[in-house]
Amino acid sequence: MLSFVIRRLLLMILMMIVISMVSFVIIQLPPGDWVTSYAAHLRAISSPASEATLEALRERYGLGEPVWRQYLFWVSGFPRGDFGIAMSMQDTPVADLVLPRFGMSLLLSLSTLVVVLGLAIPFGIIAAVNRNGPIDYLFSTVAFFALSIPSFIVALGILFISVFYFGAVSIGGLYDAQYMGEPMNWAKFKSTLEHMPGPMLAIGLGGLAGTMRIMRGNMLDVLSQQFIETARAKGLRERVVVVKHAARLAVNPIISRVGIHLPEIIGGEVIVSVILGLPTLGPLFLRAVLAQDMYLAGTIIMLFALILLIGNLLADLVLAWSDPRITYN
Amino acid sequence: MTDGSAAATSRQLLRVDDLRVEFDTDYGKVCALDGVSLAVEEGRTLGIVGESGCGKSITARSIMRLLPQNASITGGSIHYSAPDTAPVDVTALKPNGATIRQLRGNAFAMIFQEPMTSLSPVYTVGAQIMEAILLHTDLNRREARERAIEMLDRVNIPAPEKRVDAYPHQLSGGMRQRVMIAMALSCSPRLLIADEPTTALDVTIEAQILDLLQQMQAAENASLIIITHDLGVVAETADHVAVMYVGRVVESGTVQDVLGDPQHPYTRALLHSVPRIGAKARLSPVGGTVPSLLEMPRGCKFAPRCSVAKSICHSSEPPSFALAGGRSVKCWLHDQGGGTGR
Amino acid sequence: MDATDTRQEAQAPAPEEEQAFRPLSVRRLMWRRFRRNRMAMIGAVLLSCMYLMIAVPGFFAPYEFDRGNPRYVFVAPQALHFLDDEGGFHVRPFVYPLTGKRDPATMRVVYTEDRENPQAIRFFVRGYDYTLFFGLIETNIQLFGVDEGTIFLAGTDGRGRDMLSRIINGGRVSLTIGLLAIVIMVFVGTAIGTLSAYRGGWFDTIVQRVIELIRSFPQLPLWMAMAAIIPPGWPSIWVFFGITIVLAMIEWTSLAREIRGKALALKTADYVAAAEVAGARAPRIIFVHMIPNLSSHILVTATLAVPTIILAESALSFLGLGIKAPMTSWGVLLSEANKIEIFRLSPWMLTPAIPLILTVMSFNFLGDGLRDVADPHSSR
Repeated sequence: MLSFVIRRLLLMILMMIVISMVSFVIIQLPPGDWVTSYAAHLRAISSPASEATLEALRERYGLGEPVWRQYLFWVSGFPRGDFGIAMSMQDTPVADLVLPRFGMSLLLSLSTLVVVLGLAIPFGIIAAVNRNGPIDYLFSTVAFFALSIPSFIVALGILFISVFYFGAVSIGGLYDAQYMGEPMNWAKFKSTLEHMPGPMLAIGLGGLAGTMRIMRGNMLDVLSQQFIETARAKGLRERVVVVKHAARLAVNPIISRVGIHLPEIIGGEVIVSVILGLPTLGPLFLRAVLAQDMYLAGTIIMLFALILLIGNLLADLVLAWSDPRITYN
Repeated sequence: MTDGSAAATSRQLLRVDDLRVEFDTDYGKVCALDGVSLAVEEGRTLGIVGESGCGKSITARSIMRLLPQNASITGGSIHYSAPDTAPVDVTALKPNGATIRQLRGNAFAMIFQEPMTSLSPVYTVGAQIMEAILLHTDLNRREARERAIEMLDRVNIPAPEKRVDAYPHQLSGGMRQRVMIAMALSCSPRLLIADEPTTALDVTIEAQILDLLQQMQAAENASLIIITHDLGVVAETADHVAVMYVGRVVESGTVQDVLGDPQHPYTRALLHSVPRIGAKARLSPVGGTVPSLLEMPRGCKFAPRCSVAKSICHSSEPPSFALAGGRSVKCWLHDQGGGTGR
Repeated sequence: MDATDTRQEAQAPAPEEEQAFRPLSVRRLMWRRFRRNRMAMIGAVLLSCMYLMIAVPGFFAPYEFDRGNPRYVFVAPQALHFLDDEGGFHVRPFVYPLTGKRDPATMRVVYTEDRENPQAIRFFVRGYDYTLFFGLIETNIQLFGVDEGTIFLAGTDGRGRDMLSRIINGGRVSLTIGLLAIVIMVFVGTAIGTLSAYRGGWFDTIVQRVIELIRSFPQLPLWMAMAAIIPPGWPSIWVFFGITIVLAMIEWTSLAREIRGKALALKTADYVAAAEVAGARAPRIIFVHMIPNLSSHILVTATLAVPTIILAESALSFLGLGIKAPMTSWGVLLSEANKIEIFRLSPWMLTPAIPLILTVMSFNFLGDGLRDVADPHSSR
């Protein structure tokens, strides 16, 4: 088990190196660089910069260098916790900008995942046990519609309701305004938790519906298997048969699907955060991409991939623990 | 084991009378069992034989009350009477109520056909055996584990104190069927139902498992219902036999009587379709096909395939005629009243 | 090679159809099963209507989508009336013309209905010019309109542009981008998937690693980064194709994976082995023996992927990384509505969400129905 984890961790580091390269290349691909977009911005506010100034800026950020040298320059700072500077944000170190938001993104994504699974699994079980009954039809119909509503529309809907019906004057945020800029403490954490259900609904609704449907299907498959009858033949209560024997097995494919599910959650987190103004990586990433701020954008997309890698690793570990048929190779 | 002469004197443990089971399907109601009557004596073995789909398993599941959701018992009774407890009519119990759950795994135990799938893949075999023990006895976890190990030992599993922590996928099919037997017998049931326990196993393993079943039955003095399509298995293990055809018992009696001197044309046809070592005679398969439960013939259900069918056979269904030695046959050929029936 | 797996499968179940002794062609049999799925039929009909509308937007849209009328800014949807003030019933519905006045206190234009002058809705009216069939026919007939005043059934935006016309024209982009990207995706995904399964070896290994690498990024952020590659100076039609390619370039991976899996199973099928023994070359085996057998699977996967693409385009456009003016799409329209004042004062700006949800739902229904037809054994 331990060697399995170590092997996976080593593989993950290898994967991260490749991912950092790909991230950097993708972020580098747009024609021009931050200085071009900065120059365009200056022209737009009619105070164009001289060619010499722009060249000096390029020099300063090393933008004139070949891509591989820029990449090495960027990566060499990683061990020190230096992810470059955000050119579009008055040269603030990327790490300072990204770290608090990374925590928020991680908190939001993982708690959405947990809540989605925590609701979808019991709903799926209930639907399967009441197969073709009214509850099953209700759940399945609602799930089908929920599956077709994209997260950003749900976010818009939440915002619309809070503005139109409850007269909200400012949008969202993930904690009360008074905690802005404060380091994380208990009161701020509590306030964050209170603000989470809305974003979680927007991000997780589709996944909740999809996972419920899959759980229902898995349950129906498992309930028709022979060992369920063995369990009943022992004289166990139906509830024990369903939960301890059927659901315990039906949940395994759900765990292995976390790897498919997590990217959707992260994508949803980006767009929902933009709409609801949440202090997560999403809005920062959008700004960085629009401004061609390559170190910032590159770092964030790399962190997204890291969340995925960690999520997949955790899912694999949980699955290995949950399904004895899986060997650690 | 076969000891026909003493059979009549034993006490009945379970009596199935005129049992009727219907299934609700997309095509309407389908009658899967129609007037099945059986009796199992204490410490004896009853074999139920028939082709697939004849209702053998439905009968067994009716006794356990493990019928699928779309099936219901619409008539008849199943009386269970152990020496020290009040008799129960199993058909009158709530489907998943406390009483039937108290009987299941405790007084009645069942072994299934597919040893590969009849154990949960995510729990150790020990945990699965202990589950029943903890449910039906006062033993604590440690004692239950001891008992599980003891049971594994008794079903001849080597190194039981190690195997108790093994997962089913680490065991072979024969081993798993032994685990199933250990599980079924862990609470010393009065009645053990084995539904095609050896069909999925190799022939060499089959003999071992049948031996083991008989040993365990003798040791526990339990009654055994063995369901099979293999007349050889019946001949080897059972005291009594009931031959089933499309939801009816067409012939029943002691194994010696029924297999030695079959009276129903269907039983005869079945016997002729079994290969025998040394016999040079050509095998004759039972002609025709089993009628669909949806389109049953009007009279005797076997008449369309029967070589000796008379005209009455096609128009009305025969009742069960009692013969000497506690036998019964559901066939007009044995109508002593001269063709008029009851 | 006529008897394919799917065809045999399609004939095996469904006993009620076997009772009709006349053998039905496989296609008729599938069509029958599909028609029985009511939700899939509803999806198919809805989508047909929507695609018909976007095929000739000039006919269905009462106004030009990109020309505003400063006299009618943020007009709420005009109601269609059947009853006039005297309680008289009109078979032909009518609208009341509007006149705008600026409220001196709030500085907002307030519109009042001219109840004296009801305008009956007219069909096949002559309005603005547009062309049909790629410029072959020039005409100016619209489905409906009014003689005097305006008919804004979905209201107008901040520049006085008719929302209904904008939604129809936005649908043009949103609905075609899904199909276009899917065509590319199917082409690339099938080719790479089958080749990867058939060739195996180093080719397969590389393809699988590349797919894994693409998949190790969450889709939306990757799409955002890729969309940023499109140069800001490009004309909007180029941007449209650029976005299409970006969307397809990431989505093909899932199809390629599935096709590879199915193709690997097919590779060992007896009839493929038979073709190999008979001396068929790789292209023939792939195109004649393998791809036809995968076609129903490809169709289902592609149908179910359309909503993903449509939503991705909407999300990118919503974030300002997608379609740009003068083109519009549902995502662009929704991004224009994403302001607090608009939520409060002009909520009709959010209507593009309705066709978007309907489209996604219809494709989901359709895909589900197709899956049932193509794979009747799926346990779902």
